Amino acid sequence: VNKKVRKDSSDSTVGNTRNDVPAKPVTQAELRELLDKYSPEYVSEILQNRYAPAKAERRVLPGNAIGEEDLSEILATFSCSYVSRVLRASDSAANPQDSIPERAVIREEDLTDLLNRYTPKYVSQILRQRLSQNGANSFFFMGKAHAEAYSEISSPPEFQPSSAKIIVRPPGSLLSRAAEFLFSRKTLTRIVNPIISDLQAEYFEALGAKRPAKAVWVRLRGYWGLFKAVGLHSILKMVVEIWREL
Amino acid sequence: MKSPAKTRDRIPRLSNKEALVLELLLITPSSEKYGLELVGESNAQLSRGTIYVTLNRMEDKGYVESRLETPPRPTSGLPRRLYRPTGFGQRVYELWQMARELGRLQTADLGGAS
Repeated sequence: VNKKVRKDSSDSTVGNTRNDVPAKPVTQAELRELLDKYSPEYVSEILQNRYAPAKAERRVLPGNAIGEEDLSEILATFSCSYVSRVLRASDSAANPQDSIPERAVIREEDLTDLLNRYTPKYVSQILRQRLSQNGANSFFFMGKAHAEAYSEISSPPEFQPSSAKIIVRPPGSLLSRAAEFLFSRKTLTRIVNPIISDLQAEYFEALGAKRPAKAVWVRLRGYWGLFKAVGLHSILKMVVEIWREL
Repeated sequence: MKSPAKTRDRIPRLSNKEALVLELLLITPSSEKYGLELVGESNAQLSRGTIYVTLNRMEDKGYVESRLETPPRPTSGLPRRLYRPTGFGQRVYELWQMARELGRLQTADLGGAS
């Protein structure tokens, strides 16, 4: 450890060396290069200062900085991005306004809801898509177990639909889109959408109760109710009567 | 287009179906109900296909008001539309009930006289 040159804040070259540190997040290669040039304590301090400049004087990690052995071990186990985020999260805990955005974090109740409705493979695909949209590196986990889970989610097996029922889209969604072109906004919001909403609610209830036959019946009844409500049946009735007259 | 005077002097009308909807909504005036709930409580007097047409007409007349439910249900899909009676709707329903009672009394009197 002592082989490396320790640069502290009293050093006149501090300003320049701090500029040498690349913008966050640093890559593993950049971090290793920094560690070759400077002591781990100094690199850790610079990273912390860069990630939380308002709290530059605060030392949030145990012992004010992580040691070289600790850092090497951590980097051997986790990615550099992950380590950077752990460092940043440690500071964020004491500084809430610098909290990491939780856009990629899924809540437990959301996950339970998804798993109740879809197969685990499908949920995995949804999560993978969300991760790729937000940038896989922005996903945040605190701990080795979670990091392993992250690696599994980052590279799940190729998606293969199971034989189980997968709801691709709720019933009536296409009809709702078509109705946007056919009816006025008032008719759409007051008549068409409420009927479709009831249809979807009943359909999900039937599926939740594991009664697929009832779900099919609910679907047909919902379509028929919509058909009646928008008055198409009267138009057809009129056409049939005219046809009989002829 | 109707003149404002005609609109102002127009007597509110209430069909039997509309009265039934108001009756169901006025059981608990503070709470809101959605269409399917009203159909379920009506003992098959209201149908799924026509309830929202009726509610739409009643909303135009000012008897009921509606809003989309928030927050959405745990399941995905469109949010439901919740209905509740307005003060005007409540007064119209009370007057409609009085008129119906008067009609019954009149029928009873005529029956007694004959």
